[in-house]
Amino acid sequence: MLDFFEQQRRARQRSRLLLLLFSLLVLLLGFLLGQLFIWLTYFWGWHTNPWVWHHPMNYLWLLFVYSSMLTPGVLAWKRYRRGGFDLALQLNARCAYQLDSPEVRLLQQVSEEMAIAANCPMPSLWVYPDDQSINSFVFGHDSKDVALFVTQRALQDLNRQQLQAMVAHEFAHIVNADLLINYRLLIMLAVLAGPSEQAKSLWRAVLPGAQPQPQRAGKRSWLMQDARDSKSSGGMIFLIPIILLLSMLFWLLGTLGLWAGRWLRARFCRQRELLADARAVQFTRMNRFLAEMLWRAEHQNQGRVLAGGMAELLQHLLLLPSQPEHWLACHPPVKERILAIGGRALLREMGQQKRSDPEKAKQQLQQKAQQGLLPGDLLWQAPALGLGLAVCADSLALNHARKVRTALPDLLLDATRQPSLALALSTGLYLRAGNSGLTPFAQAQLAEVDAGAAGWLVEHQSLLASLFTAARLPLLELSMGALQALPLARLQSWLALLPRLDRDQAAEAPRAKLDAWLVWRYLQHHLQAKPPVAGRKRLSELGSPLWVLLSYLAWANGQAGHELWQQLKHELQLSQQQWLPEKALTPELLASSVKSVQQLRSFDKPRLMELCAQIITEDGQFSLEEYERLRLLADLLGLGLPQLRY
Amino acid sequence: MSVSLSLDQAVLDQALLAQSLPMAESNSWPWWAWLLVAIAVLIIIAIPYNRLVRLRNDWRNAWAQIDVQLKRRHDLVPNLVATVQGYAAHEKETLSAVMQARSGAEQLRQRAQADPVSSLAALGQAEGTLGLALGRLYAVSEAYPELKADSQFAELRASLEHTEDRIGFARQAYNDAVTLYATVRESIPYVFIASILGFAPIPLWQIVDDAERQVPQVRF
Repeated sequence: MLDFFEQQRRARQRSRLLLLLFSLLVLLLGFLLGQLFIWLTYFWGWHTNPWVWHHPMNYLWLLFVYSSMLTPGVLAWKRYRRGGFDLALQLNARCAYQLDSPEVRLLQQVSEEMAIAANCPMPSLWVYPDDQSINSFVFGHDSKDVALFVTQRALQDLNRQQLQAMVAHEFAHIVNADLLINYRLLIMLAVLAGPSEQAKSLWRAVLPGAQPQPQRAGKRSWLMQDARDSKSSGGMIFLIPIILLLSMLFWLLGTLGLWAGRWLRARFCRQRELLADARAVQFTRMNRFLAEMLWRAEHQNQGRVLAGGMAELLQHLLLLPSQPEHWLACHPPVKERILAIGGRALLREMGQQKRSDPEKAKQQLQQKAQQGLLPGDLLWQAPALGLGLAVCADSLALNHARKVRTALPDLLLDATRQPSLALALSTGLYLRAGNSGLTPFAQAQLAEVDAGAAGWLVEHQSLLASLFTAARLPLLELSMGALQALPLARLQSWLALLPRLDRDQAAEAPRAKLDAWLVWRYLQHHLQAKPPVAGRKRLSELGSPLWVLLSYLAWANGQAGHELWQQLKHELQLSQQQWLPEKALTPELLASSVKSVQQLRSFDKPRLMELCAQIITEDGQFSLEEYERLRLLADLLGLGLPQLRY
Repeated sequence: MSVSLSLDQAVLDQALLAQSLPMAESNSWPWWAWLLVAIAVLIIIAIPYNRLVRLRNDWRNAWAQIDVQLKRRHDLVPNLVATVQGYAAHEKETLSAVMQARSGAEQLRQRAQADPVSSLAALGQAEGTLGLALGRLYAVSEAYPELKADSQFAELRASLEHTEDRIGFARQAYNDAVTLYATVRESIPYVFIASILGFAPIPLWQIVDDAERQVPQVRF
């Protein structure tokens, strides 16, 4: 059994040692810089005897150095003094108590339970919707302004026990007083960064080329100005090399101190993470779910970083950072964390599970294809994808994207991580959804936005054409992070271009057009995030838009049942006698319907998703097209996927 | 002359004796040294005492959390019974068993507020009995589809189950606090002063009913 009390005791001891080292480093750096000044003034003849410790000049320099180091510390203290509520506003997070969904209610429940287990007050709960990774963090200084942030993806993808383990980890940070320690570390790091920053300021003062870009134009440094103006009267030009030398030494020492400080912070924060993991196990009494959650989050977060301008500030607070393997990373590698909580057997189990997946998946694939549940002739066009398809077909309801992803070709996965290639890939997926190829017109249009993307798309369009529907959504999801890194203007021009790319194509089947529209709308929705619409309409008040939307789902399989319509019509109080004919479904109609349905009040949204699920599983099974339509619609409406029973 | 001399000598000896007294006393500790020793002893006792007080308050606070959750559970039970009564009035035996178990547990809870240490085992047993009675009530409710479909019943049942989860976590927090208290209390140097200063051993909250130990069987 894991002795989590012993684990905590060890981690606490190491933390104390590191905090002591940190303080010593600050003192040592200040002392060295003070000595530098003392000896320089001695060589210039302003100091009589630096060997005498109690000389007033020594005290003066030490006082100067320490006060100049403390100034950035005080500024950092003021900058980071904001509590959790202010941060929530900056991140555009949504208060959990104002949201009404099963996932958020679950978050509230497990948080209440963990507050009892941790014997500490409840923090305010916030959902961070703009992030596609599984992550969480706490921020604040004391129990009054602590805020716990959980990403929307974590709420959607984790089960109850895993979510509980995640929340327990964050409560452990609160109980261990890590918030205060992190705050102190930030200030200490600012203190250590002070000398090198001041050296840079000195350079800027001396060298005009070192001025920041906006200030550089038409300006000269004040010292050069002084030197030039006073050249006739003897001037201060002799000071320039002295200040340069001084600042260089200052910078060298300061930078060394800063890197040492960063290294110490990384070591320190790693200990605190291990301590928080051990305490989370104490709260939940289950190391398995914490290990599972960490494993899952690590594999799902690859290439995804926390969005927003606060990413750098928050890195050391996150459950999982964006660069876990970096030598200055504030978190130990996930494997080490799992081993530390006694998860050696679990790690082996998860590793074996991963290794045994391909064989199992292949068998499942063959079985499904034989049963006619999957179009087997298409699967072999891209063998790697076929494998993923088999895995996802096994549990389509929940882990669609993650499992397909494990089998995607490396070439495409690499493309999702680079903005330009992600743009090309998404364009290809859009065209594929509309059954359109890359025409010369489309190629020329895309080249205007990004020439590299057009070239890549031409080269790999045959691979994209062979992609099965199952890969489309995961690839789009994976590309989101890289696409968000593109300049806004380029992104907007590309989004505006997409619907025009297939304009010279012959008239396509309505279904293909609708799917392409859905992909475009999905991209637009996620790349141009807008605040969610607070709907007030009841399900029975929606009328025609609901009819259009449900018909779109009903026709996904090519046929729509009359009996189901009669049943739904009665429940939803709709006046229409039959599904909307497939031919009448147009992107414009669907667009206006989605807009209207977004006005639905949150209370009725889960019921709507249940109805949608009922429609696509009416015949006892569901195709990937049906599933993809449901998934995209759920995303557009800001809802989680319902449980699919088939 | 000689008399006066001897007298003078006596006076002189007395004076010398009087002067030598403080010199003889200077070989023992001065008063401030005793004061320092007293302060040191006080500190040596005060530090462990303060730690024990902190730990005692921790487990008392954890106990208060259990009390809050138990109160919540006991408050929910009459509402649940009233709802069931509306659909299954003739299941009097089951309903009265629940109410009896509830009132027994509530009495013990109130007694435990004043003296948790001595009432802990009895309260644990009473809560176990209440849990069993509620289990039977849920089993009875399966036979009444209308009752199962009643939203108020479903809501109350969910609240009770959620409260039981909370009690579980509160019990866990209490046991952790008591374990830490016991570990410190039985270590050196605390062990020498704990009993003298009135820090008694505290029992853990253990499951006293075998039925509660059993893993629930779920069938679909």
